[in-house]
Amino acid sequence: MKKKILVVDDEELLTRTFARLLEKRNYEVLVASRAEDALIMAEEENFDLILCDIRMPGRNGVETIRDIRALRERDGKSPVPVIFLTGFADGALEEEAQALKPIAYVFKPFDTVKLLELVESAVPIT
Amino acid sequence: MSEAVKLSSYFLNLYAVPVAVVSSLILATGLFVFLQQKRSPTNCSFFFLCLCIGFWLYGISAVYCSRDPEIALRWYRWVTFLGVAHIAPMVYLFSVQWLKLYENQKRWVKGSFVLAALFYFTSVTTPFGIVKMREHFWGFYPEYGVAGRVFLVFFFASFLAAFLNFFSALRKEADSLRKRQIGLITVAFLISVTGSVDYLPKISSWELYPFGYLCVLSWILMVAYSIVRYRMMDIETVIHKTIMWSIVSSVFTIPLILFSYFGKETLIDLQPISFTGIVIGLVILFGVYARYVQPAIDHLFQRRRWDLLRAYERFTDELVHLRDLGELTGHIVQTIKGIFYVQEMSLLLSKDEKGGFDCVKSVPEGTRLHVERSTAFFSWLERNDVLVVREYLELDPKYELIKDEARKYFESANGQLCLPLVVSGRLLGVINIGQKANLKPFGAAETNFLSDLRRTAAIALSNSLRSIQMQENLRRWNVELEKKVEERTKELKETQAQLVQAEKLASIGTLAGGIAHEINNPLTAVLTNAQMLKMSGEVEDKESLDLIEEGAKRCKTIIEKLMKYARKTVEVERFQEVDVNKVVETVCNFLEYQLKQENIEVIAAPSKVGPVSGIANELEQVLTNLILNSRDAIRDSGRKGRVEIKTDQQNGFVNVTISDNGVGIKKETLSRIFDPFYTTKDVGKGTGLGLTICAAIVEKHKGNISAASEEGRGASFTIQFLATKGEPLSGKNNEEEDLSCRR
Repeated sequence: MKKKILVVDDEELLTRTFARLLEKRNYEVLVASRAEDALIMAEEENFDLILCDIRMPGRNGVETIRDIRALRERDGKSPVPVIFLTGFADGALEEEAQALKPIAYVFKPFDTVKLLELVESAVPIT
Repeated sequence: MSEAVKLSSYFLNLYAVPVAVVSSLILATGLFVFLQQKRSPTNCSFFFLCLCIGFWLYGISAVYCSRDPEIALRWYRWVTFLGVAHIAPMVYLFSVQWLKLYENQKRWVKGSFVLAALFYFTSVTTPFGIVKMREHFWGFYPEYGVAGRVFLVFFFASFLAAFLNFFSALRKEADSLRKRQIGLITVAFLISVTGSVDYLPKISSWELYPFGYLCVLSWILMVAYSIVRYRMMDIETVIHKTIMWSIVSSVFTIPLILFSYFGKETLIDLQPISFTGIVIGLVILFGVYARYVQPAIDHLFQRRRWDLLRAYERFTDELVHLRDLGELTGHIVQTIKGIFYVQEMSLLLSKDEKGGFDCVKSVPEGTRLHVERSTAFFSWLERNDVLVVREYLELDPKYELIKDEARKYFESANGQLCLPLVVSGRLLGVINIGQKANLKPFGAAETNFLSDLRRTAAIALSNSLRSIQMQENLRRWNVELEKKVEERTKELKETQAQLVQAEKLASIGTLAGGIAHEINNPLTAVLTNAQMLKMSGEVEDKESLDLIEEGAKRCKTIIEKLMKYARKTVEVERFQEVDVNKVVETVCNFLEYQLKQENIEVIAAPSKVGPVSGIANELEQVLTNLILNSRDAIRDSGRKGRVEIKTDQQNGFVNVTISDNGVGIKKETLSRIFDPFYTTKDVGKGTGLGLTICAAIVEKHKGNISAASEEGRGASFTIQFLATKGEPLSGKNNEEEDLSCRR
């Protein structure tokens, strides 16, 4: 059974890149370009990891993760681990994001090797 | 003795009346002179002289009125002779006091008084002085005995001594005015000596009416005039008026008395109606005289004074219409000149509070005269505010202190009178008046007139000067205001230019930040995919992938810088208390190796500084950037390099200065070095963002960065931060670290 990873980003270039990168590493990757889609997906599927962009049109990454976790808590499921991705620093938002205890808080553009290491240590490939 | 106090022992002798009247006049004159200046020995001795004359003349009146020769003799011995005996020594004393010879002649003065007392004692106690009374047509008159004749010798000797004093003084005196005064008194003495005709009937049986008292009256009046004239009293008017009044009155009264004396029998025989008619007629006549004739005479005599009054009124009337200083001074000078026909005149004015006085108007025109405010005479004028007459300087003790100064001043101004113009205790100016064309002195009425005129003139001049001052102030304020407006406009323009520049930079920042953000995602895709391909090993041309990766990484650096400039920092850092010396140390340690390789000496010279609020990483970045810029500049110069980093604290600011001996910065470049994308480095070597980011970071720290350079010799950058505490934080122990940084 492949581990499932959800990638949330409004930038299609990136979601497609992440999908290719992670699929090559034998993960099952689902992609959402909006917070609402991510919420629906998270309700339907059980993800092992979520890669989430912070700044998105509509609800931002931090709110999205908070909503997903709240949903899972309601259904009696464990909180899903998350890696936040961001283009630039935003003090207040970063503080909120850190409060959700993510695996990492990564600035774009990132080092691919390092990112893969992070993902693989969080969700070991079976 | 009891007979002497009985009224029946006396009768009204008409010859006694003028004698008594003259006596009263002389006593009044003596008192008047005495009251002018009570402390003056001259005035006192004059008063005592008049008192003696009073004793003499009142005594003689009593003698004339006596019915009994015994009583007359007693009056003469006790009262009249008391006066007569002391007149001579008093005259002598007066001459001595007047001429200030008392110290030299005091023994003679005292001796003469002792002798006079002796003669008086002799006349009272013995019959040798005054033998008996002889009856003449004017009444009883004494006959002098042996002692009386000796007394006459003493009397004339005393007079001679006084006369000699005056005469020698007259010859010695150089001052023309004083000479005139002494001359007048000497003449008065000569007249008074004629009064001694009174002695003729005393030593012989000659029936000569003793009219000496009239000579004495004229003498006393002349002396009084001479004393008082030079004390600025209006005695002239008093004397003139008295004389005129007596003459005019006698014109009416003498015929009336004569008529009533000779026509008394006709008057008694007159019908009551006719008598009443005559009395009514006389009353009407007297009324007409008192109402019209006397004032007309007064007016005739006082015409000069009346003219002056009219002139003064005209002067003030015209003054009201004059505002201009030139017209005003002209009017003042012309008025005085027109009234007194003065040959020379000058009007001195001071244009400000502290300056000296300059001649602004004069007769003849073009007089040059300058007097400092601080001169003693002018200070005195300002304090005393009185008109000064040159003639009186020598005579009046109140001028004693400034006599010499004033005399010099009068000589330089060629004046006779000096009229200070004082308003509210401040000397505005002075009017100097020279001699009149007829060379006559200024009378009391004239000086009074001038004194009034100067007050009015002073007020008018003060107003005019004030208005000039105000106009001048207005003009100056206007100029100042214009200058200020100009300055402010310039400042405003500069500020506006700075604002425009700041706005421009901010827009560039926002734009750049936006672009950077937009590019960031695609760039991440490029980089990630390139790295992904490399990892997979699926692509044969690995070098191309490397180039893509390198290009993307450089773009990443540019984007990071741009974001920093736009204050969208990639990493979040907190403001903390930072020790600037530590930052310097870290940067020095970091760069030492690299710079040593390039033969560049790095000298850190920290001194005690307080902490600043900041982000250590960013400050390190700024410092690194600046030091690396220095390195580039030194590299271009090709000489042995030297970079010095100094820290210090002044007035609550922590300063970091980085100076090098590189190529320096061109003057025209200096103003643009902090602009984004401005670079002098070769294409591809500099982004033109290094100093822009430094400036942005420093600005974020609420600090200030500035650059100075001398082209070809090096450049220095100073960064200034506000210290969080007043006291420096790091101290002496930094010296060692300092050495460790020195290469």
